[in-house]
Amino acid sequence: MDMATITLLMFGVMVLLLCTGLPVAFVIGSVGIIFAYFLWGPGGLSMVIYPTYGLSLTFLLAAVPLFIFMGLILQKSGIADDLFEAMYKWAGGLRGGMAVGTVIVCAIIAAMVGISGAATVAMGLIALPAMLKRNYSKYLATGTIQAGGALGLLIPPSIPFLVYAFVAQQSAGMLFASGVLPGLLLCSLYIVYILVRSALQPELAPALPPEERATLREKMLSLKALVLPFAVIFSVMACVVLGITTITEASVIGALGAMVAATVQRKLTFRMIRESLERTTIVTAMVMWIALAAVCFGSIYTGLGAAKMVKDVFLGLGLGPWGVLICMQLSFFVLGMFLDDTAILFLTVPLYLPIVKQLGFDPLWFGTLFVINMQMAFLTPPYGLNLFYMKGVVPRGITMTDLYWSVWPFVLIQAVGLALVMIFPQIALWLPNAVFR
Amino acid sequence: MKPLALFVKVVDGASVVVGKIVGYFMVLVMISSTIEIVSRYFFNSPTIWAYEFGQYLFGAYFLLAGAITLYYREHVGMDVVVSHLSPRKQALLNALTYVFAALFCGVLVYKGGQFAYKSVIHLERAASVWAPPIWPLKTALPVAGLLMLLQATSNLIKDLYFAVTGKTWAEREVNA
Repeated sequence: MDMATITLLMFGVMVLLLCTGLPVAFVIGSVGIIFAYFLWGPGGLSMVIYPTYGLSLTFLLAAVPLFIFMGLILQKSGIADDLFEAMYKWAGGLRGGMAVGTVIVCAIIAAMVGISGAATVAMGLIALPAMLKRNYSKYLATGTIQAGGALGLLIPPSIPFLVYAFVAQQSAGMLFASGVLPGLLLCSLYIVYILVRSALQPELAPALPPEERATLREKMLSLKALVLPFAVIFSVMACVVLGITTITEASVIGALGAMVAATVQRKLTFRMIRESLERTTIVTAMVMWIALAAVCFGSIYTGLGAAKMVKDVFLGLGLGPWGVLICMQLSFFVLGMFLDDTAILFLTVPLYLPIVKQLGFDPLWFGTLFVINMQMAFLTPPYGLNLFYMKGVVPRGITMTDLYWSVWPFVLIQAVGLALVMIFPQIALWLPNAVFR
Repeated sequence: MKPLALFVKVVDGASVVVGKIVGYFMVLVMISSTIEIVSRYFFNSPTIWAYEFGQYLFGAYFLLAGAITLYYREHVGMDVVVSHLSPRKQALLNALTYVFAALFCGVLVYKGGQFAYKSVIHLERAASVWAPPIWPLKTALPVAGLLMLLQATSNLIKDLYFAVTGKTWAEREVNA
């Protein structure tokens, strides 16, 4: 069997198994093992051990649970409520103001957590009822929250950047820095979209009636809510960006800082710590077992000579470097409809990266593009995690179909953002170069 | 049914207990990293052990937490296609795909076991200044695989029971 046939067969079996709802980790792992056995016999199975052991020694990834823990503690100490309260007071008087405020709160939460679900669930519980009560369109309201939640991936700390740093052997600190400006860019694009849309169609996002708007004094007082989260965010970022500590140590400081913030809010309890630890354990195991299965699969697939085949295919297309890069982004987008970011990263990046380097592109920038792209994966059906998180918290009467309709303007904006960062690489690269070199 | 019920009870219990215990490993990592940061910045003497200590704990942490995650069915899968099947048919499908989960976990137990065995008989230590025993971490891999395999089997029993009788496992316990 030649490589192309094997690849088609492998991915065919994989898609079939995915459709049964079998956990992604088991799908990837078992497909790898089956092919290793049929191609090399029992000896081929040994290929699962070294990558697995290597993964279990990667201390960099210990930042994953610690950042998740930090986010959970901040979330449970009611910071999301306070933030939204502040935004509500400041922006409620504007048409579309609450949606704009939601985007900003999501961006701030994104700077406290490294995953996408946290802000989506928190804002779905806090901002969505408030917006629906004020007669916001359900499409605009839910779309905003899901797109805003996806910023968690891009604005540091960020779990996909950590995983990319491990797979691509790039500096996690520089990757974190590279996500800041694209994150703010997307944030601004969302805000512009919401303001323009609600100026054109005021019925989608009405302003608060004047008697319900906050006074200046109330507005100023509400800013108190920003102090603690900003203190935690800045201490973590300072440690990473100024190179004071490693990423993992910065995540420890973030976790401790979050507990201090919760203590100041008088919200810290042993029960909260225990529950957060358990939740952290489960989310981390979910991510890491996909990673584990994917490194096994990757070593088997690469062992079959996949790297050369993928390279020949891409370079044989005759599209030039940019054509290849665009094809890769399209492949991320398509895979993103069916798989989660960790799986896509482990399956594609080891194969793509040598090509990217050979074409003369910056692997750091490629990582930023990957993570921007993965935000779309979180919104695109059928397998878009933010759609599921959102569905979990919406009131009755909002269906999955409504949610499918709600996300597409935002997916389009994300695609525009991705294109901008491709055309102007400095959006991603300026900050890491300014800080680290 | 009795032995099966006992099996499910013991396995589910073990997964949850192991998962909760390893959850606290991250507290230890927080403490050890804090000691490292403090001794490096305030006393200018980095430790020789904190990095490796965190490294091994994290490895064991996520490996051994696989089973509790499986118990709560939190290992994500793509359930869009199957979501419009009836719950009983979904349970049946879960039971049918058990063999793939078992295959993956089984290979981890088998190959990981060989790998760990070589390390255990020599009571292997890490090749570093601190030189802690490394065999416990190498043993964690097959142990984690075994826990996952057992938990997958426990889920299989529960799924089959539901697919056949239409009653969930929890409902059975109430009646029994």
